[in-house]
Amino acid sequence: MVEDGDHISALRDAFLEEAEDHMQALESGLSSMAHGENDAELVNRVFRAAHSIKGGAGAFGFPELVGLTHWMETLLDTLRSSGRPASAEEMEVLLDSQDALAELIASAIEGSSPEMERADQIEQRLRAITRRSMLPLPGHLPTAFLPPRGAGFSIRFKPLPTLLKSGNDVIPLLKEPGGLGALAVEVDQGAVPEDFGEMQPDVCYFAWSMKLEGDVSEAQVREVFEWVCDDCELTIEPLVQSVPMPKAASIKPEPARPLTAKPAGAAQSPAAKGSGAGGSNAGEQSASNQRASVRVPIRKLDELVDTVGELVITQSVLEEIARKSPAQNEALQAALLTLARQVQDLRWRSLGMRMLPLDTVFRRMPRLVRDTGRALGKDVDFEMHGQELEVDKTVLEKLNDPLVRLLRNAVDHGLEATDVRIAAGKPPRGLIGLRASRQAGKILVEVTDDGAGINTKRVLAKGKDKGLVPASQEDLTPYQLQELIFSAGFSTAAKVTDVSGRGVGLDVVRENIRLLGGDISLHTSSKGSSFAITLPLSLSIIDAQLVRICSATYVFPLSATHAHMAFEPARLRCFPGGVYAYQLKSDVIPVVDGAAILATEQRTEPPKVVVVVEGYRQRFGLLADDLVGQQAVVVRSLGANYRDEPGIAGATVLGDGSVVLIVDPLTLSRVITPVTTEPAARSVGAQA
Amino acid sequence: MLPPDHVRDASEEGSKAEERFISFKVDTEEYAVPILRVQEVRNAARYTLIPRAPAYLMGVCSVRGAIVPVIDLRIRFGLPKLPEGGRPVMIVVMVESPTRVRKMAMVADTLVSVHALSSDTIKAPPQLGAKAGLEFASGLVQLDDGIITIINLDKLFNSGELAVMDEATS
Repeated sequence: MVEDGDHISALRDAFLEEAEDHMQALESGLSSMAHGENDAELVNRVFRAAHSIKGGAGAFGFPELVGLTHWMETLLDTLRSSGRPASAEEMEVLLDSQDALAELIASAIEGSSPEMERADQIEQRLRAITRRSMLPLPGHLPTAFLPPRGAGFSIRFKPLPTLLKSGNDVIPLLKEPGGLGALAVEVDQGAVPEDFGEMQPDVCYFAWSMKLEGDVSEAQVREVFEWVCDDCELTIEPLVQSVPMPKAASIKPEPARPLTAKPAGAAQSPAAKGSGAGGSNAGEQSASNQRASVRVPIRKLDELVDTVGELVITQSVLEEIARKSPAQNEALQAALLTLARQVQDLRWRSLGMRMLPLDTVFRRMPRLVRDTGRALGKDVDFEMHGQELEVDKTVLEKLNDPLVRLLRNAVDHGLEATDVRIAAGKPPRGLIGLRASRQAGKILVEVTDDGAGINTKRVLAKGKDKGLVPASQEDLTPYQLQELIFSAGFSTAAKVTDVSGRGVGLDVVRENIRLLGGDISLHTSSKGSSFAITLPLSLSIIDAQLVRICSATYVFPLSATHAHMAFEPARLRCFPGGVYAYQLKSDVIPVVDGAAILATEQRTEPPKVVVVVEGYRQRFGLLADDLVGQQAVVVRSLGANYRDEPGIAGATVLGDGSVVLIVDPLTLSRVITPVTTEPAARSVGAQA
Repeated sequence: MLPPDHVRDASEEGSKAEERFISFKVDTEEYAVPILRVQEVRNAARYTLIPRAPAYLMGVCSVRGAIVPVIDLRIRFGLPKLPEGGRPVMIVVMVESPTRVRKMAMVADTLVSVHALSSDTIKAPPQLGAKAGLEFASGLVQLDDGIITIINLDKLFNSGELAVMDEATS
């Protein structure tokens, strides 16, 4: 037996999960509306999203969500009935409400107490604007706020097939308006099939006309049918019309919901059941099949991926055994080959389940660019490509902040002011691009602008100022430019704006992307700048270099391994204080003995290899003994059962069943005393 | 989580409820842990050493694909190492902390037996035990042929370097 409390809390969780889906619909709908689209179905979709959140919030005890959604719904309803596009002011307040609502839902999910001040303010604005919007406009007379005294409404109510199937009952709906005034109900049996054999027990074939007389507002009537408005056709018209009035609002629901998909046509009239309707029904069915999905907690997916990871290991153990066995068995070899292929397939399929389209993050960006442009008084066009590509959920979640930072930078620092653009002979509107593409097992995300490019002279001057570039240097190589731009506390913006440019920014962006096993690079010219982010498709399987240090093997992620070379003692330099450096062709890098920081044993023979890795803000070398080979490895957490260890990204199990540690050069460089890092730079890093 | 009917049985029978324990030897003493906490027992295998780890951590190994820390109970209890030639066993247990359940392996000298013990035979451990490791004892059981110390796994494996780090940092 499940206790009631558990049951309710499970329902609440389910509601909150659904609320996130509704928020996505709300976001994308409002974003289209903000772009000037004005189509009834669009407004309807946004209305329904707000409505569904409100309904569930009321039922599952989130009163803080009800107020805001109620007034959003009211404003959207007004827009829907009038058919006019939202005014700039209305759009603004709707977008603000969306943000406030998202915050409220987030705090409900966390279980923290909601921050109501902002939501309340926005609710006040919504109230005010809704009242105003409802005042008569030319050619439009809303009925809700002008109840004709002593009159009433004529109501036509026709349930859709989904109404009964979703557990609603018709009878109370027929009685309830009686509480508002004198009610007369008439039933329309026209839709009942003549052949009783065709009747379906769970479909309501009746429709009702009601005449409600009394001092009633339309909103009161609408409220009666609020719960079923998605599942019926409802027309409400005032009985007495003192002025000529356009056709009153009618809620046009979607044909059917995917789960209860039963084409509306089936119930409408027996005639519609002809062969003609069959084709379109089939189309609808298959469309809803495509959308059909199952909600699975991410933990269960991770368990599946883990189990598949174990299977991969077992499979390689099997191969190892077969390879070593003296008797060669062809049938066994063939079976092993098939197994290998199937396991590989299963691995990618299970990893694929954790993948989400980039769109979940990208779709917020058009608004961000628009708002930033508006705040800075710049006209901006925005282009987006590749949002359908999929990446691992964890990667996706960490992509949002860097993109926000880069796009704001692009609008603020990348694009010139409009008059400068005109003077330079460019189109007055700036162009910002956000593009994703797939490249060799990685995702490439580019943020571009068509501004004037980065001012290399100013970066050079600033670099000299800060002592990062020798005073004698005349020019910067592209690599130096990039490294300066991504270094801590470096900003060339002449003035600090609200939007961006306090210097903490690009260095943090780079650190965050590198923590994901990706990297970011910069290309700039007088025609504009482009920041290119490369990201791994998945964090669970990485390409790696296996390296032996003393008697143990270690895994180095290829994404963080820059190069490796034979160790030449002549290139090793020792500085006072026990600091070692290694001389490369064009560079001198700090170097440490892998045996000292990774291995737990004393070195008995001299190192033979130098592995150059990407550390925290600098490359460094690790002295090792042998390169074992490259392969893809399944990353296992060390912290899940033990604790996270600086310098170690996790562990993996090799084909022979042995466990090897995966080195994380980024955190490893913090284990080594960062002798060359200035204190100021380190404090910025700590915030990252 | 126990099914509700199981809980009811236990409360009706009161102190007579029996729980099963797996017992093992570390040096001269016999210890026991609830069998429900034990995932598996296997021969001690190869471990991979971890840099900067506490001395009692023998390393990590793979248990059904998961990376699991292996704890040497002798060193944890401040005892000398098992002499050469011994055939230690590895007991994989579930360790609970307020935020999660971790899988850990402990290495003991030998496995002894499985005991069904009713809760009224389990005595509170002496407060001032001189014996090493006693601060992690949740009870003592006196049998005909000796004393078994029942280990509180959560206390033993959530202390010191093994404590669960603040979740916010992960």
